[in-house]
Amino acid sequence: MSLSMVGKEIRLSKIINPEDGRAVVVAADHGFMLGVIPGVENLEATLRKIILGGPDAILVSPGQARELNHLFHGRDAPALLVRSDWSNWGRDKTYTLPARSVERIGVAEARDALLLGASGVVVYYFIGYGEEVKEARHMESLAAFARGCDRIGMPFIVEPVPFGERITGANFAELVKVVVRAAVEAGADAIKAPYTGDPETFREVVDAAEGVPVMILGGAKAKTMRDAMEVVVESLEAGGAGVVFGRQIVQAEDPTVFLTAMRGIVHEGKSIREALRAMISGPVRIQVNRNNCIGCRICETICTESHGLSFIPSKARLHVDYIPPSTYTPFVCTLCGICVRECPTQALEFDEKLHYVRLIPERCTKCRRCVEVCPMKVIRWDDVSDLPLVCDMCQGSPKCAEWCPTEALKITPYKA
Amino acid sequence: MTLTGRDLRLAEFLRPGDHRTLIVEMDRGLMLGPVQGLVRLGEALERVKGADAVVLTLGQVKRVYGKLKGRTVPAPIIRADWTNMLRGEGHALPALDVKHVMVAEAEDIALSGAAAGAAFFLVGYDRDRDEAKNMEEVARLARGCARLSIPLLVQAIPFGPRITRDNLFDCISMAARMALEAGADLVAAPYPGSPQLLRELVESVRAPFLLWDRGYEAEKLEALCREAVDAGAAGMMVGEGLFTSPDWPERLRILEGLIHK
Amino acid sequence: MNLEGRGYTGKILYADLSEESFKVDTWDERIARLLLGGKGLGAWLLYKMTEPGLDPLAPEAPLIFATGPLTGTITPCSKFAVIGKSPATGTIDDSYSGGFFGPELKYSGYDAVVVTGRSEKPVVMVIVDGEARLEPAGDLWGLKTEEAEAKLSERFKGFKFAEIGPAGERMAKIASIFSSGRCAGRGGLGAVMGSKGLKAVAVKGSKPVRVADPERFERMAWIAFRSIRMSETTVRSLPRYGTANILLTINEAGALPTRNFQTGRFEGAEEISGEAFKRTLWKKDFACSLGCNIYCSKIAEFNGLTVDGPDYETIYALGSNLGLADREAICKANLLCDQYGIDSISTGVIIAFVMELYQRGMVSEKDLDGIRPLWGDKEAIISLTEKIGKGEGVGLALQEGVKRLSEKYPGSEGFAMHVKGLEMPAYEPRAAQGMGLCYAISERGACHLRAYTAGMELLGYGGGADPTSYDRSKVQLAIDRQDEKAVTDSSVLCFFTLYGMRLKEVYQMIVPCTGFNYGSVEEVKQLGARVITLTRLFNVREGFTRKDDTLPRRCLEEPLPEGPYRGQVTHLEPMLNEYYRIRGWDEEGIPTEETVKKTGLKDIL
Repeated sequence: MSLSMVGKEIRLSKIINPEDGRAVVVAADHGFMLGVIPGVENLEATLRKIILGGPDAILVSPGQARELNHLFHGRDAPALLVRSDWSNWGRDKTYTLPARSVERIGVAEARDALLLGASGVVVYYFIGYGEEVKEARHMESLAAFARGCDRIGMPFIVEPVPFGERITGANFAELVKVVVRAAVEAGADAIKAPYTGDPETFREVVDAAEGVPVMILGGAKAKTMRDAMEVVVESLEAGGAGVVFGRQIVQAEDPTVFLTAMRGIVHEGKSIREALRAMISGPVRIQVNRNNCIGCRICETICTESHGLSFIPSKARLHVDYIPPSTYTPFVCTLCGICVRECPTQALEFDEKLHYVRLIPERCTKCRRCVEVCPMKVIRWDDVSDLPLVCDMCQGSPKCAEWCPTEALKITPYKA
Repeated sequence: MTLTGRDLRLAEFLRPGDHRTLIVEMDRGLMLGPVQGLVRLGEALERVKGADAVVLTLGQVKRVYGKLKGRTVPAPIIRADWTNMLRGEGHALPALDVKHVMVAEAEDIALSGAAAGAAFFLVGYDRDRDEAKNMEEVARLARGCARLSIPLLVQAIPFGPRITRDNLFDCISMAARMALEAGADLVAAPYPGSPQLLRELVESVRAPFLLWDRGYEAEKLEALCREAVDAGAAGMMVGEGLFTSPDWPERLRILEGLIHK
Repeated sequence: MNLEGRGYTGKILYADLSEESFKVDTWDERIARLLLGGKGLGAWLLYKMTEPGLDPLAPEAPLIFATGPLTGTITPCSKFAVIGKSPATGTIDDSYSGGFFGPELKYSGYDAVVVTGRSEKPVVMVIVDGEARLEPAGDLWGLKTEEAEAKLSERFKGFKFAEIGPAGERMAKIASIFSSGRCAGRGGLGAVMGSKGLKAVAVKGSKPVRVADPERFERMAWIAFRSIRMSETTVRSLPRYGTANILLTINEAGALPTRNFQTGRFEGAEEISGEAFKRTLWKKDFACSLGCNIYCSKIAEFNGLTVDGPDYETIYALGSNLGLADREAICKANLLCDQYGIDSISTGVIIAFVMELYQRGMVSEKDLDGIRPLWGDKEAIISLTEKIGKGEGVGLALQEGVKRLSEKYPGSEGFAMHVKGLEMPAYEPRAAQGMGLCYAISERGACHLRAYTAGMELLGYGGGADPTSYDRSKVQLAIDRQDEKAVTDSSVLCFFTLYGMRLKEVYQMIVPCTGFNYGSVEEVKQLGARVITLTRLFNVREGFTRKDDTLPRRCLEEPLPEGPYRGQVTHLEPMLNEYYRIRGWDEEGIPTEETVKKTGLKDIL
């Protein structure tokens, strides 16, 4: 084993956890590529919040690697990754001076990364240039860079990017395989690749990498945390080595919570439900944002389903009122406790830990008082079971809010 | 010349919270042969959790790097030189004439992914030419390390008949100062004789100062550790003697507790 | 094996309005496995229950309301289908509507309702948890759709409705069936309903829909929703700009029909784009059906009124195709169509036809109750729309559609923009060759919601396709789209779900829902192809052949005057040849014996 390999292994192990072969990485080099975008104006402040969430490594530009070097000190700190090239490809039409032709240049060498104390460097590999000569030059530069990294024992992480109009929905997954393999053959020690969209095709990408760890780009596409987590889980199941989050984390409301949850999933074997639930410890309530409600009634439908009634929205434990022409208002259990108080036989009680309302069927005398007094009118009488249908927050993780597509219903911590 | 890499690598074993460290030397095989407790180096590495850094030779690093992976293990420091100075009376072949040579360069340290390099600056040579050679070697290594932003730890150790109880402090002080001026980022040196002298020594060395002991006497080690902390040192560097006691992981934990309370 | 509890109820309600009697029957699992439901079920019922040559407005003509196995579950976008023989075209017609009628029908215990016969007096059919009855609807007859639903809601609390407007009552060939502001618009099934004296169907149910493997189904439904959420189109574009999100792109491509397809670029496109409506009149987004997370529907507020829409097709038909760039006017015309219960696409194309007749001096104001139908004249447009909606004055003739109209004006067939009697939708087939094929071979006449190639040809979806090609791969594209659509039509899901998810996600839901162990997505796609062949068999039995799979002369012979595809005509013949060949139909477009056997249809017809 050559010393260079030893160096690469030791450094790479600071990024990719040797116990599970996975990493949760944050890319914070957007300021370099895009200018000031939300989240990077005070990069140090943002990174401090991110570091509290415990990522394995953070990717920054060479300038920031020097400026913010102190954030990486100590064994508890994340490993430092340095971006060693620059490109304008991210500057689409929404940016000032959008890119008209995609250009890429090197800005730091392996040696510079060493001097900065980095554990690895990240370089782009673009495919899809309009002119073939550009791709050829990029490959030439990539190969030279790989050799430089070898000479210094610096892990070399490649970020293949299929881009441009020649890339279509049809050839995308295929191309990801191509560039990943090319990167491996050029000497990549790890890869940061786009998720192909489904586990089957992603497994092919992982196979093409033949053991070189492939982390996915944590989608800007995912609209919700849960979606982002699901994509990560799918990629892990297909053999992926973890995830690199970019804008999603840098611009997240609470990066610490986001990352802690992701770490739970990637390194601690938590299920998505567990990870999400851990984000809000203790009792929850459903926050209603009426303006977002579009009247799809997914909430009502999934409610009955999760209470063993299959699909029958009219028996849901919440309801959406419709006032023509287009106003929708969801009514949910607010944990007001009136039904608990008013029940003459204490057949309704609050759960001690999670504070949701629970029905004790044996005590129910079927007087229907709860139906009468509920101010939200969300308690219905079920003729089939001859019992009231009372919201129990799905025992801690209300499904209606989980499935709501517009966050008209949102799970938030319950404070008495 | 950027210092950021140097600082980051220093922080791998000099804890950012208290700026202290506990370093253990596991490189003695090169200089002494197999040492009890270090024969199975890999196993010893698995149990050396309390240390912030371990000194290893390049040859061993190539073999045991698997134990150095991740972020919960001690940082590796590469032994860049060799000397026969440590082969004293008890050794199978005691040194007749103390020599010092280099066995690794700054590039090698960089390549290996280690956090720092370590070298001896010995004083007390019979011939001044040997002392000059040692200094030249240390200085060259320091320059090479600086160019690659790798921290260098120099162990400034007086030895031999020219060192007496009366001149011990002055010799240590002189060697430590020279090491610093040559470019050391940390200096380690043996106990100068009294807590007061230790304090003076610590104050006179501007860089982080580590008290060095070969570690053969367990109680002495703990007492030294306490004194080092009291004197404001940045921690301890413990030699192969530690491993000769069967309960060394426990001892290590105690030292860790004393340094990093 | 029983269909109940596998997404299906296993029951079909047969209502005979002449006898005022109801019958409930189960249906064969074999049919469900081969045709799924919705379009497939409706086509099969129609085929079995009718003789060729049947008058679509005769009492014997069945009107079928159908759901699919996914309807009413936690699938994205449950809609409902209405199937019958089209009074406009004489072909089979399957039309789809949002609203919550479909799921409610399922909860009331039925996979489908088949209505035959004719009631002498206006009635509303009331279905509650399996029990059906007829109630007098004299006080509802004559009411506009919204008024009718309001009155019905008072009388039947908690029910969902499907009703016709005044146009359906008088059996206008462009009459639609409405449900909470949405409509099963095209082909004139509203007329069929009106011919039966059936003003409305009211349903209410409390029977849960169960599926074969609830846990897996829930997971697959979640994945379906997620893929819709993660698609650029369905999660950003459609919710923000409605279906009009594509208008400017289509216009750029020179494929936005303008002034009766005289050209493909409209100078007023900017004012009537989705972006323009969003900036000005649209006040609220909403989901039109159960489980819709795309919410492309919009409420526009204009001049103290509100209207659901306008959608892309309406903006074309009552806007660009009439040279009109006035948003409020388009909304007003849209509202009139909705209230009187007529198809806005057909209405618009009829008016466009009249405008071109006038432009060419083939009609004068005298023939049009004094109206001067100048391009872009909003008063004329609103007037004509109202007349058509009311069946008043010249409206009575116009409501019959451009095919019948053009028969009265020799020399006008070349620019009567219809196929088989159904007016053309908002894509220029000379710009996008695939759409020419789509219009020509769709079962119910010129319909875009079948072999919809425009997404790839003009909008770059799925990798894009060259709009000018008319080779084998283009035809295959059209067939793939048509088959996929037939699957979603038979599951009765909204067209737009396939912009977010793929057939794979639909297949993944169908299997745990129904318990049918379809081996692969391909097998489900073949189901779609089977349904298409079935609808073709119906049409063939009615005498439709290759000669009817054609386009107006304007498309086949007049080169497109401007835009990136100027100079093009639709090269239909080569596409048609290839289409029949791939489908396994002969050169006349008739499915061969072998094809009928291979699809398994032979055993069930």
